[in-house]
Amino acid sequence: MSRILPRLERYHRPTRVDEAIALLRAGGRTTMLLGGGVSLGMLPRPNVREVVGMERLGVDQVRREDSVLCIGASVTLGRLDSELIMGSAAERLLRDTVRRTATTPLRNLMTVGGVIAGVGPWSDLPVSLLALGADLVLNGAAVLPIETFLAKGPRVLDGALITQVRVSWEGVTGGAFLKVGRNETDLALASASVVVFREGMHPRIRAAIGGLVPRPVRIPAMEDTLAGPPLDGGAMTRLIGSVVSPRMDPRADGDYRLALAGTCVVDCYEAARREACR
Amino acid sequence: MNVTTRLNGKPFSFDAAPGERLVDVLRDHGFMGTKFGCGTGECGACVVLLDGEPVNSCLVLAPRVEGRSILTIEGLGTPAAPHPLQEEFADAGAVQCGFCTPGMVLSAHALLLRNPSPNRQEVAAALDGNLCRCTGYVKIVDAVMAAAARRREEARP
Repeated sequence: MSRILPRLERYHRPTRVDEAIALLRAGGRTTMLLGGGVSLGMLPRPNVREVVGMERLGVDQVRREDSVLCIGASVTLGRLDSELIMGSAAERLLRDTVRRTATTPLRNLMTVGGVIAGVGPWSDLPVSLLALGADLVLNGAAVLPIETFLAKGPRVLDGALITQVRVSWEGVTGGAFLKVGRNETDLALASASVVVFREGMHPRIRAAIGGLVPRPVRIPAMEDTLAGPPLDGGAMTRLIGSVVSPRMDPRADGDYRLALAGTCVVDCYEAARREACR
Repeated sequence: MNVTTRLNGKPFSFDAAPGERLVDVLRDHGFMGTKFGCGTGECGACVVLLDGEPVNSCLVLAPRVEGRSILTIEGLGTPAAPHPLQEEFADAGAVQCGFCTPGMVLSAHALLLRNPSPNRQEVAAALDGNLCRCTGYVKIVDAVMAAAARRREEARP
């Protein structure tokens, strides 16, 4: 018997979103929705008795509609990597982010919906999705900005399922993601993603950071500062530190994370700006 | 519950508890080349190919493989007729204790199917989920590069 779900009694494979929601509601706290299942390795769920698998819900497509990339919640990061096209700055940013997220075998299991629903300080893709201003589609219909989701936390879903992520590439001319860990694909100690948009004659910047607080955050003051005269990592660190109180854990203390984040933001902006100027 | 899949190119059905992991199912059915290492997706000793892509079978619940195709190291080559990757691993001295080797070989196989001419960086990236605590990685990358070169040579008319 598995050690990750030792009390599991039933594995449901619904084919409709409403069916999955009904199963989750009926099962209550001992029923869990399963995307890729990678989190089970880190966080065993000893009390789970029923699992609702997402693999037959039909939310596993990657499509492009007008200027929006639509990613089904069950799409694995490995598959997303192979579907992204390099002609788009937004998609290049997503590819670079995906390739820094975990190892190859894990990326072939992790789903886009799973990494968003299970967001933590170490998460990579939500940082870039926040910088890009992505939207989440809930239950195949309602739209929730990822910024709202990340600000309020998973409870804002109120039982709804993330079925799709929508990323507009309208106006995106450059983007970059950086993170620091023990190696290329380690859980992030700190990370940053910066996107440069072109609106008429004027560039607009969106920037997000990860690793410092429980969920990735966007700091408007940081974006205003980036748009001004060049800034070094130290000054950016002080600015971020004036807005957030970074967490500490055995892997890194708060001041170290702040210093990493400040440097990541400045370096990211330089890379994004260079790409936008090409 | 009953699960029907294809294993190493042949139909394969098995009964499993809902929470059973794929690695346990495979080993219980005699496919001992799939190793149980960390159990948390860190080491890659349990890597198998699921629909052609490497995954950590310690994190895959058995019901999730319904209708899918699995390749284990036993499906790649045999002692009597080893796969070129297996031969190159042996020739390059890329095997010491051997515990990581099945996962390494399968990850490399998936890479070469997708990219027949990888450079050393691409090989290292493809093997980023497979840990070896004996050899270091130089000879392992050498072996994959040699297998890729051999494959290209054999494909020439």
